[in-house]
Amino acid sequence: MAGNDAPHDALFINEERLKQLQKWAAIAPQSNEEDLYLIRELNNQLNEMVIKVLDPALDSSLENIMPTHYGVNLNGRCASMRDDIVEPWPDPEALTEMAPRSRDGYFVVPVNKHESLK
Amino acid sequence: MSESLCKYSATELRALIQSRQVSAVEIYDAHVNQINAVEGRSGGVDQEEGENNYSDDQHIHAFVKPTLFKSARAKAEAIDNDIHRGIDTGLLGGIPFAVKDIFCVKDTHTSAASYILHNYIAPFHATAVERILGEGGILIGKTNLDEFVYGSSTESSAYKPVTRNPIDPSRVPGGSSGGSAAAVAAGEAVFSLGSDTAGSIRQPAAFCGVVGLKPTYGRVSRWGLIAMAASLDCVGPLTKTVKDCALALQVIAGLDHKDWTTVTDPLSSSETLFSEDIIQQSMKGLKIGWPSEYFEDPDLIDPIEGDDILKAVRHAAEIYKSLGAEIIPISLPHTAYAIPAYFVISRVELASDLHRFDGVKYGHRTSNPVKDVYEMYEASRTEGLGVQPKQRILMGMHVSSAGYADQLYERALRLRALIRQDFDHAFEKVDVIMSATTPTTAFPIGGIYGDTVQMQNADRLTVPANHAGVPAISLPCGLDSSGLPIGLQLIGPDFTEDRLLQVAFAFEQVYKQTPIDH
Amino acid sequence: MKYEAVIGLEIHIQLKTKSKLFCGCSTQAAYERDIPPNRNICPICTGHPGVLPRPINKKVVELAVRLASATQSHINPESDFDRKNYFYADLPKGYQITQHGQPLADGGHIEFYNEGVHHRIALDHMHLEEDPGKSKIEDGVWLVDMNRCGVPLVEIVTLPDLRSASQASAFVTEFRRIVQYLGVSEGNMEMGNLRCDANVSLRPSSSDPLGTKTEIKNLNSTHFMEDAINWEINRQTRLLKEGGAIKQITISWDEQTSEGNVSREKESEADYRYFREPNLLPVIIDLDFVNHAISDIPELPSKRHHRYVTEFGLSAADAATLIDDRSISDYFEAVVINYKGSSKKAANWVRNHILRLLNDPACPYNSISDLPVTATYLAELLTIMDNGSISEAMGPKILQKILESGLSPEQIVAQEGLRPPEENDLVQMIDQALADDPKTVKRYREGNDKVLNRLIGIVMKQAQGRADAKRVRTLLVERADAL
Repeated sequence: MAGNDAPHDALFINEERLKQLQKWAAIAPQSNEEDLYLIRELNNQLNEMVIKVLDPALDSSLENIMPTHYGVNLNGRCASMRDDIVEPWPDPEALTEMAPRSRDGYFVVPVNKHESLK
Repeated sequence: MSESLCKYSATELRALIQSRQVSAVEIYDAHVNQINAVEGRSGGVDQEEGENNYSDDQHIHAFVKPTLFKSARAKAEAIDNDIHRGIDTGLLGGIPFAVKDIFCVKDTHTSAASYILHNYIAPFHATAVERILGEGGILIGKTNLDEFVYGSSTESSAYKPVTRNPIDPSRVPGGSSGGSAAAVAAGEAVFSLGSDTAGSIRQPAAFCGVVGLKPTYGRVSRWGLIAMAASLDCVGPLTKTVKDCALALQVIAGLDHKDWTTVTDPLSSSETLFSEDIIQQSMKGLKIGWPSEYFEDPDLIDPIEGDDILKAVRHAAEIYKSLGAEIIPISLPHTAYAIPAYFVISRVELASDLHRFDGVKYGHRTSNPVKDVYEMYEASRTEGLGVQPKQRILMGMHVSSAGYADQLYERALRLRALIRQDFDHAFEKVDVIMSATTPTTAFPIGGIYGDTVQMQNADRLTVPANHAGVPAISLPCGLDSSGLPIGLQLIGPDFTEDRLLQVAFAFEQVYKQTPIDH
Repeated sequence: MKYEAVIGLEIHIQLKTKSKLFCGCSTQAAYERDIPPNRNICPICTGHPGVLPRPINKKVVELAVRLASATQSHINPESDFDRKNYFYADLPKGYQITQHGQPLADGGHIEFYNEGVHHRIALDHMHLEEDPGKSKIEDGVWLVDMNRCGVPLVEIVTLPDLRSASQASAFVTEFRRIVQYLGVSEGNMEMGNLRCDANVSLRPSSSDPLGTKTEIKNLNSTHFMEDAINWEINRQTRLLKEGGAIKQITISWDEQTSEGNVSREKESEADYRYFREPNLLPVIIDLDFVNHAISDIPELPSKRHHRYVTEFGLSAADAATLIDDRSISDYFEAVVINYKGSSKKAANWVRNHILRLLNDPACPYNSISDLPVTATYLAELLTIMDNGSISEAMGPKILQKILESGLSPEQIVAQEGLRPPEENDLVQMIDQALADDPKTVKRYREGNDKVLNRLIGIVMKQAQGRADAKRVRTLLVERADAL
């Protein structure tokens, strides 16, 4: 991973990094051509947009401001914590029935031979 | 009468229904006729672009199949019965509306315009939908959108053919709420619900010549809105008029215990907002900010490409001055960083929000044989998700992984705080800010699709309001030399939708009388 | 070469709430067996599109604050939630809502005794998180049950202050007692209310830096935990002695074979891409909230134990029996308050009579609070035994009658005429017994004291057990001497 590389160098995506991202995302690699296209697109986006976030001209103003999560300040405007009351969902069976595969009320998923359950 | 019924606003139709000049069923039938006339094939996941019997490129395709709900006409009949019996039918009783297919509607197909949900039936209503239905609204269909709202043109939908701009069907309606804007502009629905994360209500509203409001973050519940970026997503209405917008907002807004980020701040009743003297009062001495970056930065709005747009917005400023307002130059210095910051924040959040589409509980699961559960995830997601979601997810994984997390995501959140601060400083000097909604008018279908950077940049004038969380509205303020609609954007401080709508209304009244000419 | 074992624990407890952390589904699957799969679920805890976590369950925060107070941890006035992203079939959203950046509480400690020695183990922090679901393999597929998804957990992480398997076991035992005392968790390890992972490493001596640690998971009882930790210490010792290096692995303990299975080698930290959960507001805890949450915190078990030993003079073992379950300890306290006599006697009665009653399989009462023999009644019984209203021998019989009838000791004594015989009557019975058995009297007169026991038995029988055995003996000797 990034290690001690200068931020810009580690920012861009190569084939190895794409494979890692695909694995994390559970998205299968495409043909070599398609993956190369993807790398070009993603790096173009990184170059055009993400790099601007790293603009050093922003450093001093960014240091002096806290991150915001909504823009708006929601303090004191929202509901309070919820009371501990059971509100059962009226039709839990329907939720298992809509699964691509279910059995006896369980969700069914192919077994991973090599990995033991946590 | 039937055809002209599709031109009326909700407020007007309501008056007609209440005074029994027209029935809910007549209104419903008129809209069905209009849909039959202009819609063409509605979007389907099993259809190809352009493989039609009749000409796709002359029709709107605002909806996704199935378009009409069987129960809708029955509901219109029930409303008529209630009216005859003097029973209150609600603030939107008998008004046909459409809903972007990013909202869950109970027991109906909810797709997010993606193949991965092509078989998903939502088990509950989105709060905004439920509230409109509770006030008597008649849901006539789900509208098309960019897949998982990723895009500014509706072209990335897995449901083909793509939606077209009713003003000029060779052009995009905008996105991601393209179907919602097109349906209203084409008279297929009286109003619609959309979502706005970077401009996805306002930009298509501008492109199609309708009104679109992004309320303050927290004003409307996001329960039932399939998430893109939870810290930026807002639910809002697309309507024909500002008054309709206020009415729709009144119905959908308010505290919801299913969404902790909703607020208790009250909203005035739309009935009291728009009397003539109240409007006059609100305009006197109103200070309207004129942000230099939105008009003079060539990276934000090209002086040549945007020439008609700038003319129209300047004309709008003159109208405001004639109403008694003062135009005050201001600066929002970090505007150019808004798209880059949005890029990072949205990718991180959406990659995580799409994790749940794994084929285990609902939606698409691969029918190919797989050797283990991971392969099942991979195959299901690869088959089910389109190119745009895939790209975004990969980018999200990249910019949120350890080693970059501190640099990029947190930095982007600080940058967001700077953008917010720009607005805070501006609102110390002015009451409202005005600008163009978009840097260009509707571009041709296929014109920039595939160029993610350019597509993203279509939102550069709208996304700052999402960062700041402040309310912003787009309303028509002219046509360009090709006859394409131009949107005027007004931005207000937190939770001041009342005043924002009044300021918009004031312009709308005058503009109706003296539209810009070329 | 001997190595010092260094052990740290990560404990997860399910908080005792009725509903889940972020939705209104019931948590009953955590407490009752045989709940059908996917019964207590909703779109929120099964990760449907368009759902949001509801405002946090206030009781969760209250219970966590209680625990943090009891361990003297620093409670953060504001804490946030984060997403921990990874794919797993029992994780329906594809991320777990947890606290990564800013936990509920930092620091704190827990004290306990192991083999008479006092220990104080420091805590690193405690944080809230969602429980994932459960899976099992059957007929070549995974079956996933999401009843448990979203049940509230507190994860408590200790510093690596433990030095032996038995210490670790004693720590967990004490911790379980604490959470039960506080009413924060049922703490039943078999039901999964309390789960433990152990991190084990070795080093030559305490002045050396920490060695590479391995992680042991799937420890379903303190007994297995001790076995597993000892097994791992032995494994690492052997490896080091052979000149090998310890790899950072995860071990799953197999109860059947009493061996550890290496799950996987941890090359690097899995990248969970943590970021703040945008749908949740920060949890704000002010002083009022804390005071309310801890307003009825009981004395902790270790303090009670200490008090029983020093104030009441109980043995450490006796005290340990009494404090093990809060309801029993509370019962004992109530007896002591109402009974002005010897706490040792009270302790004996609670242990030997009350607890035995409860532990009897035939006993229809599940908990001490259901027993008709209330603390007040027991106190009354002990009092009337002390003041001679009834004999010591009568005590257990009256206890039995209280159990059957639910009446108070006084009522039973009055009803059934169980008072000891009047002195005159007793003397009469004794004289009669002596008169009936001249042979025994003769032997006694010849110096054989033991023979009187037979006569005592006869008198006791005649008095239907109501007489006090010591008094009978005294009188018998008097009367026999006077013959």
